[in-house]
Amino acid sequence: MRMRSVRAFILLAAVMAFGLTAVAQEGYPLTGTWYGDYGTGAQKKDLTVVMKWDGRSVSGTVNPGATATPLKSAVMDITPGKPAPEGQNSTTGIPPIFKVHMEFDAPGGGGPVVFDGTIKNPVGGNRTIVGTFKRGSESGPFQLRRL
Amino acid sequence: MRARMMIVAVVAVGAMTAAASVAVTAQGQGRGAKPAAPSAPTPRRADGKPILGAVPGQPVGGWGAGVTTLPSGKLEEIPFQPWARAIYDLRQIDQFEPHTRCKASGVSRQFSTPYGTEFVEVPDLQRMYIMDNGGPNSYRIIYMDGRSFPQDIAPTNYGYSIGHWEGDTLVVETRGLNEKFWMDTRGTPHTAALKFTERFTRTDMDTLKYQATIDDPGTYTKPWTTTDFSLRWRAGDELFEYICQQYNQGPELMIGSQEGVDNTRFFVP
Repeated sequence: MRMRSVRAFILLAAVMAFGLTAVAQEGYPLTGTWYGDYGTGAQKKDLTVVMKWDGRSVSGTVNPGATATPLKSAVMDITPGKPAPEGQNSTTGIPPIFKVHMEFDAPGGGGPVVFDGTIKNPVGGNRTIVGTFKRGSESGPFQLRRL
Repeated sequence: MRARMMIVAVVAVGAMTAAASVAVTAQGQGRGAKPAAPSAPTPRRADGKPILGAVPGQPVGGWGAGVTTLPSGKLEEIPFQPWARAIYDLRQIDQFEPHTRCKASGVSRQFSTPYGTEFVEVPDLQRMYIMDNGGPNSYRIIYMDGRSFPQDIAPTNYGYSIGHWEGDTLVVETRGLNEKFWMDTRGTPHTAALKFTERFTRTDMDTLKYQATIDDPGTYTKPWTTTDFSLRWRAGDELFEYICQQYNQGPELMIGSQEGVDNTRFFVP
């Protein structure tokens, strides 16, 4: 119960601190507040990432609050798609693929944590990033949902 | 789907207008009749400035849809950043525009609805209002009192618009736009860094020329300007009650069809 309260507080603090960023919905795909987790089972950890695009690069904060740490990097690698030919159903087009690479240093000197994933539904307000993380010899799945 | 519906609506309205026009012409002309009279000159105020909306003492009216921002066939001329081009391409496939979910959509998007747009000028207040007829049924304020932009503008769907006259052209710059809407029906992307400058010129009673310059370093590698678009005056058009959530003719675009639209958003209007 206490852990839930702490998580809720951290999330609330993140949303309050970055409120304007959090409501952005349709611009640069990484902009906004993302919430999710990484790892499996008992090792699963909550993760909040707040990202902002300045037109050239992404900056951000991981887990805003007492254990906040800056985002070292967040970049997108886009594989172009192909719109449907004129006159054909638009859904027959090939959508571009938005891959994401993120890194930050784990609080407490735990070394870098590296995330590689793909944005699902990048033009939707409810977009997600799903992929795998690596921290030293540890690795596993992660997922983030845009708030 | 949405684009197709819009096209069908616009074509239908256009066809009806054309049919009505032909009927009127046929009644009024007949064999040997004179061609239709040219449009009346640009209406003006006592100070000589053009009137962009309805003319006092005459029936009200509004401007029909006519702006898409991107010039057709010239997509490659738009200086997209790579991410922005990818988003644009994706929006051609995944066409669920916020406007179809009743989100107020500013700048050029105001001039793309089949129900039209109305200018309301209030010289005493040194303001203009641009009314959306249909869609979210809201309005944008253009300040004409010579003010400057505030230092920090909380981003909104319509942003903060300031206008001034350059000869017969109304120049409106808008800043403080959020990212919660598309600026045209094609899904041309933008960020909150957008500065959007519009030029309105009423060249005669029935024609409003429109051109915009898009300056958004978050999305484009350099500013770019649209080609000229023309809006046509529709005498007799009047604002009417339109509750978007209630009268929307594309409900599958609001809450999902269980097939093509993801309806797991946190908030559905």
